[in-house]
Amino acid sequence: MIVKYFAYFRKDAGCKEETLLLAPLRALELLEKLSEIHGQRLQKSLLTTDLTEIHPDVIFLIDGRNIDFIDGKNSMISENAVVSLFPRVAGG
Amino acid sequence: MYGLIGRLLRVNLTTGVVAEEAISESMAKKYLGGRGLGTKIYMDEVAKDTDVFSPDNKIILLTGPLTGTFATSAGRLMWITKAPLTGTIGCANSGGEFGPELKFAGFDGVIFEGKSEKPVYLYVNNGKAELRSAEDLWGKTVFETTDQLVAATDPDAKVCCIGPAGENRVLYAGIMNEKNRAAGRGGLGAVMGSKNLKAVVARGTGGIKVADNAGFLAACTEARDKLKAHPVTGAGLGAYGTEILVNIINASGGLPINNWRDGAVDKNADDISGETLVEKYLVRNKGCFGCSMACGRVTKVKDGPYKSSGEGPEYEAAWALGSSCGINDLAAICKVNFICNEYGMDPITLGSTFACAMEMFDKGLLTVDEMGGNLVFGDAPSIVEFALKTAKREGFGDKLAEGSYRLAESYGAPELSMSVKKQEMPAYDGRSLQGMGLEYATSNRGGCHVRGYLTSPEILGLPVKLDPLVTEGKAAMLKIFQDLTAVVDSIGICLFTTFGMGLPEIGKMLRTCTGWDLSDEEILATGDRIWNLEKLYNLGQGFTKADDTLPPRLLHEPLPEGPAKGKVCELDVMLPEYYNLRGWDKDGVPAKAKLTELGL
Repeated sequence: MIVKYFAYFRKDAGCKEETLLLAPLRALELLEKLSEIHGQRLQKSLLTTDLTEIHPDVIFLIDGRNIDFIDGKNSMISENAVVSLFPRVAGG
Repeated sequence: MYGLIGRLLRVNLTTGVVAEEAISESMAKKYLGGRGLGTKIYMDEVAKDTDVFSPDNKIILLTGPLTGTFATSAGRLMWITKAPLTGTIGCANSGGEFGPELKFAGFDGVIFEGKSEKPVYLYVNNGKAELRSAEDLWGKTVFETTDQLVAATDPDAKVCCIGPAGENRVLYAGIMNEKNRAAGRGGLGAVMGSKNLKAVVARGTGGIKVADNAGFLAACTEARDKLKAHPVTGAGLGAYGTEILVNIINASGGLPINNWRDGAVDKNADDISGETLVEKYLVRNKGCFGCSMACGRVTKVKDGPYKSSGEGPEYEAAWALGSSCGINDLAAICKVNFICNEYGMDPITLGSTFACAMEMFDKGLLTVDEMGGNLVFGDAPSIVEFALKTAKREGFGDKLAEGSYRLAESYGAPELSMSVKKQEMPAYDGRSLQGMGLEYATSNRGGCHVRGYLTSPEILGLPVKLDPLVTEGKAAMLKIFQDLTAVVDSIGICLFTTFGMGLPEIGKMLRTCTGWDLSDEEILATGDRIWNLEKLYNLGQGFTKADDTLPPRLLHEPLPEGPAKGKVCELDVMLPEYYNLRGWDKDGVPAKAKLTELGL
């Protein structure tokens, strides 16, 4: 599983991307795992303060599809998926 | 009048007469200002069969009632005329400080008519205006012209001008102000060039009256607080600029590569992203008048073959000159973007025209000998060389200056132009963002992203989340976005404010500023009126339902990879629903009842 970070999430995680050997898991579970690996700064960006929800300003893509259009925080991520994590940004 | 000053300048370039006239408040209330009022004045005064470069054509510069006030990000001005590139209504807006300065000088706008025998510029200074010779400025770049005019007038003057591209009637020449801010799309700079009008200079120290001082201050403060608290308008845009979109659009499978031919997932996208721009070339961010977002990029390439400095690139420019041309050298992209600013050209159309020529080369329609250079996918040095040739219309640059549609059509392959109504589409693939496909097809000024930016709900989840791959709900949302955008463009604030606030905040600011008793619903209906007015102009120019379409590639060639793999844009599903919601018939013509309802 490849996890890619963008914008200020790169500073929070300390890297642009990483490869993780993980069994299939749900979106929220992945963010919990990433918080364990990278610490509180990333956790604060990715999860709500009670740690039960994905932070509303996270855009979470699994193989390019936003989890909002899959199964939200329960969306399943396969072993070989590419996950992209963005803060809420905009431009145009 | 409140908000608007209530006075326009009418400049006859043929006779040299500069006159003042009042703005009708009832007309202003009906069309707001900027884009709406400017289009109304233009349609009332210019015969519909007028050639775009004829002296009989006019070009109108107009601000809005909020321009120059304490309203958030209220630095916008609008230029309106027929667009040389498309033949549609042409209206292009710009930020910076020129619009406010013009109002401080005592005028909401200027109507230019006729054609000067020799190059001139208009100097507006605290209630007075005069035409002056610009013969010594002709041929000079935007930067040279700006510096020279500031030196010749007032150190605090603001300058709006064209560069060599406008003089040479490049069909996508822009009108620049404060050197780097651009009314970029449609080629309006070429209309200025055709009139021998090099620049407008403004200097003013006056003020703008508002109807309800305390109410306006409260409304503006509320809006500003809302923008500051929002993650996009409060931090994201200032930190990374518009270029931050590169990676998210790419990850979503929507970043077209190699003239939209090879899909919409660029493996090298991060090389040209907002993150990389910050890491390598950003000097500082910069804001327009009264803007807390400050998304502008002051950038510098410190060394190497593309050593240069300036502002930008924005997301659309980085994509057009980058992924669309198979180029991932951000220094080269910065350099060409700087050239576009100096010479006054739209980088979206320029990059897309390069990409079209590159595909024509791949297909054997063009040769290196014919082009006089190696304008092929992935060749970064060539885009620098051909940007300059295009601005000057030198060699093959003369053909590139006509835009991708005319270039491809002249070789019998118009389908290779990724344009709508002859204007090149920006950086979102309508196969992976279905709503953006509909937006391009229906935009009143041809392929354009800022007439109804459905990327916002489709990718960014603002203000609601819409699945980019489905067609349901897109027509209805697009109509709201188009109408609201017409309002925003007419009142003089930046469209980016709508990432963080909406009609309620806009309505409060507008009402307290102008004193107009317009409900939020009536304000949005005004946007509908403006949209229909523009549509009527285009119908009068001969545009039909057949023009509300997309390049065949988006309709018939499925994307080869990414989350939208196998998708084409389902325009045939969305367009009839859109026409119906607009109150138009099956051919996209506004019904009489609709026009009556809108007072048109």
